[in-house]
Amino acid sequence: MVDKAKIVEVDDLKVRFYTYEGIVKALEGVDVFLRKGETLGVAGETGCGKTVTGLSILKLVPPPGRIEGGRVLLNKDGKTINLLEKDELFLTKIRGKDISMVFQEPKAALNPVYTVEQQIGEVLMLHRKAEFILNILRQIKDEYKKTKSKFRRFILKRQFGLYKLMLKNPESLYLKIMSKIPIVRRFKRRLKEEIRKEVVRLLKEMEIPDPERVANMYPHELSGGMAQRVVIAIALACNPTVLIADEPTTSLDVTVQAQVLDLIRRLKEKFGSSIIYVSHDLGVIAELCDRVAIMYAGNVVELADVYELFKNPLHPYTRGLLEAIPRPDKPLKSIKGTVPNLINPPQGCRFHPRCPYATDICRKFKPELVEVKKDHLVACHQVMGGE
Amino acid sequence: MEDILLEVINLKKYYPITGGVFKRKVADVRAVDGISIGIRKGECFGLVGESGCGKTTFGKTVIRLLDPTEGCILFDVPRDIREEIKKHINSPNPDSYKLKKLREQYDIATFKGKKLRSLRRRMQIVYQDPTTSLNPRMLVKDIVGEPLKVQGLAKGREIREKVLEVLQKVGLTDKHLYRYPHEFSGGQRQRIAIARAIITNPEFVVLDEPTSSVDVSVRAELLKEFLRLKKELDLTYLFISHDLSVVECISDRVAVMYLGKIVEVAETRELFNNPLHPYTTALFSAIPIPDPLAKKKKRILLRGEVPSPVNPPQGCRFHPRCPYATDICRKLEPELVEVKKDHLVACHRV
Amino acid sequence: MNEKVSRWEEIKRGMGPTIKELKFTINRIKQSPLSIVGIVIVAFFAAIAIGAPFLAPLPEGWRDPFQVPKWPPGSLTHPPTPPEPGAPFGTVDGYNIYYACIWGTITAFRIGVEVVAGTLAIGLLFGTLSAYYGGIVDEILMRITDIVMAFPGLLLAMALVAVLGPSMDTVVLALILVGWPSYARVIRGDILKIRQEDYIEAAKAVGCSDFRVITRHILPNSIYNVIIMASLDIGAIVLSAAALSFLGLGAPAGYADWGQFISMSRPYIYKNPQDPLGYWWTWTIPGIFIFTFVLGWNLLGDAFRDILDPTIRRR
Repeated sequence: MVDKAKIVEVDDLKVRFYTYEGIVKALEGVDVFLRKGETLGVAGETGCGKTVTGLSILKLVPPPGRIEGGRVLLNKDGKTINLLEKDELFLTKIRGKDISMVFQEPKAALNPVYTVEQQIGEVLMLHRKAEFILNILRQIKDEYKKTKSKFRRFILKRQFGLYKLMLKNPESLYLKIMSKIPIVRRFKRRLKEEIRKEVVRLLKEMEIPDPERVANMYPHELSGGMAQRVVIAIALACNPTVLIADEPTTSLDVTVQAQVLDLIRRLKEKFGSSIIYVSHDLGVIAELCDRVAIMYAGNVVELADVYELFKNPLHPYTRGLLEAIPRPDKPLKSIKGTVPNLINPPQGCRFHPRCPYATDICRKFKPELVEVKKDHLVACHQVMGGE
Repeated sequence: MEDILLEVINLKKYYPITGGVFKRKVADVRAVDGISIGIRKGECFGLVGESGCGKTTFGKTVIRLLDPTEGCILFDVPRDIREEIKKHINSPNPDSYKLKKLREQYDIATFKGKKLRSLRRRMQIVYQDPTTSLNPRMLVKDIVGEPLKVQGLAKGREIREKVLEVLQKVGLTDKHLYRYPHEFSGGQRQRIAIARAIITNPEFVVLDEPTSSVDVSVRAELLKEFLRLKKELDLTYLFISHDLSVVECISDRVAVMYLGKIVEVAETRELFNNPLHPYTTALFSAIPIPDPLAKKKKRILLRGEVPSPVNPPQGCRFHPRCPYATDICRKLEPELVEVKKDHLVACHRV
Repeated sequence: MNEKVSRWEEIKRGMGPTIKELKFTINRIKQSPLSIVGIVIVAFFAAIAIGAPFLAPLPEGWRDPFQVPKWPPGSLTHPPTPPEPGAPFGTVDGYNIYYACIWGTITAFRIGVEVVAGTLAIGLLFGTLSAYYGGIVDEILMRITDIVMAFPGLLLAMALVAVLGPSMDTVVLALILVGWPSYARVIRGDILKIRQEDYIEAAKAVGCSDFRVITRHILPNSIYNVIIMASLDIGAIVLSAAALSFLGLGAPAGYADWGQFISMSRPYIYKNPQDPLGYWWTWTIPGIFIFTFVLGWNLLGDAFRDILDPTIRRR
């Protein structure tokens, strides 16, 4: 059951790109929210700003882009924090742990010189180290009780001390020195073992066959589907509350895409994750998502439950998109015109030059995203008048 | 029965993999591994398959942008001569002198140099990505006019007039002549590419995923253009795509390719209503349908990944992933046979 | 009448995009102040080169402008004299340094242009054929390139001088023969990258001959790195020529070449313990000329890179 609580809320987000040719007003007041346990689809064509929205949530917008205004609220441990106000240090704790992201090109998201185990291990070390160390400490205690040998007990005591130090004061000089001395540094092996076990477990969870072998592979040895699964594994390694997926299956073959979508669906059921799924493929969105936000030229133009959206699309753009999907029995319909240049976007409603219902008010005033039916928000003057 | 414009007989295209110090051939990437098919005049022949199946290689080989490793390509050859050639090929003496002479004259797989270049006038290609298929340092008028210049079909003023004519056909104006490709949107660039392809009045055009890099809302526009131009200019298309919904809308017949071979061919409606090959059915069921109510349908999930074309599996290439594979599938490679009227399948089960 | 008007219109329209491109380039240049400095320096030297006959007019009856006249006129060798009217930069071995520096500008440009033209011609030929045809052609051409590259330039220069006698032309020839391999390599790498782009294949699909594909499609898109290399190289070439002249392998004595004159100043770098820099004008002034000239070209080369690099350009 979908929990009504909002877990991520984007409020009036404004992002601009300062390029040579001019200022690209990429996002001009984006309002969207994600509820706990649901999958929100963000759909739109190239240039609509869906990827930038995803990146902005984690404050990962690359220069020359700048987040100029708005709020990104995250509901963490009962408190609401505005991520845009926080500094980088705070955000590094959030990224990968509370909110994770999966990108479009799996091979590009993986570092080609590190093995799968090393890459998943990196994220585990960053966020879940304490958990592993506590496990190890417990292990050492158990072993200590079991063994009688004085020598072994001596070694275990030393190891215990070092791990405790790792937990309390990871920057300690003593620890650093001990990590370099040849035989002493073997104590780190326990940590490596723990991580490897967890990595294999994660890979199995992703339904990757022969996970032991795959853990030692390099990204170029993996096929597209497997690489994307590894990326998803990295994203889910620390059990994030929110997963942002930016067109994760676009670059994959149709049959492989089916497998990965199936996996995502099963993970969703198993872990109850909240997912923001960005895509231009309405078919995938229809299959996977509970609610859908349609974006056009930097704004959310419609936001509704998925069944409602496909049955009763209210915004002219949404209608046009659904009609443009090639169907064998119906004649081909397209939306006339092209996506506007965001350096000089049209006045008023950004869709008006292409809209068959545009009137004077559309050309002058930008419509707000308002709730016209229960849980169905639209940004259109024509609809607010009562459709 | 319409006449066949382009017929390929046992077409193969292998890429050698070299290894070792002396760079000897170690294995082959069998991109196209024995395809025999005929494309009828005036039709839009769709070719679908996933990445790595060889469909782009097939398209490029058929118009001789790549040199075939083996096989015949007969372009605009009268039926009786085609029959004769096929008879010679299937005869116990395939290396006969007569066959050689026939092939030299009609088989474009043997054409070289000037003969090949003059052939280019009649066969053209539109690439998938219009950003990389147009020379970024050339003006539109030069890009579109180049085929005329190179083929010696027009000079000076004439070229400009023809360029204008063809640009208008694809929905652009003379304002666009003196601009560079990067000043246009994706859809417009694709139109420029189309203009370049049709300016020499070709008979056969290979469309290699022409709508994949274009937005959904513009895609329908382009598809309508293709259909209109086909009728107006009497063209024959080879439409390559991995997007089944697009192929369904525009093609007359569709062929499904897997790992270098064609596994099923039929008229579009027949294929989509009655897919017979297991790969085809799996492919169709894998497409996400833009209708949330259709979620209920059970999807056929194939095991494993697409194998590499370097070492295709023994017997039927699809058997490792096929849910119905039997012993014979593992040993013997199925032939492409006609099981219903105009519906060919390569599967032992059928 | 109509024909003429529309032809003029055509030409104007044809220039449209070129002008737009030019404006864009100028804007890019304006953004980088050092490039402007580079352009100014090179322009300054170009002005000197063009104005040489006016800045340093030849004395009566003097035939060869590149043979530096002596000061006072008609004198023989004498110890260097400091700057004075008539010889604003002083003299060395009796030669008028002012003349040498002014006319030496022309020599510098000449060497730079000739050597760059030569190395570009050979380098482009080898590199393009190598990259375009690949296979055994590539192997053979590249191995030849490797062999030439391994050749020590100095020895080659000395060998050529021994055969052809010391002169500016010999220096130019030596520098060309030794310099072309790096251009071949660079253009080969760039063409290999471009060769597999769709539009190259499209050009072949349209029926272009190999020659047309190379000249009309490949080269205009791959030439940037080579141009940048060339402009950066001009400075280096002038320095190498100066070094060769310094060693006596270049022009004959008294030739208007900066390197020559620095070579002549060798015994005078240190005057005597009481006045160690006594003859400063013999090596400082030609040295400043070389230094500034090379600096100008280096800055210009960097400017070219910033402007022309397609990855940095907005395209």
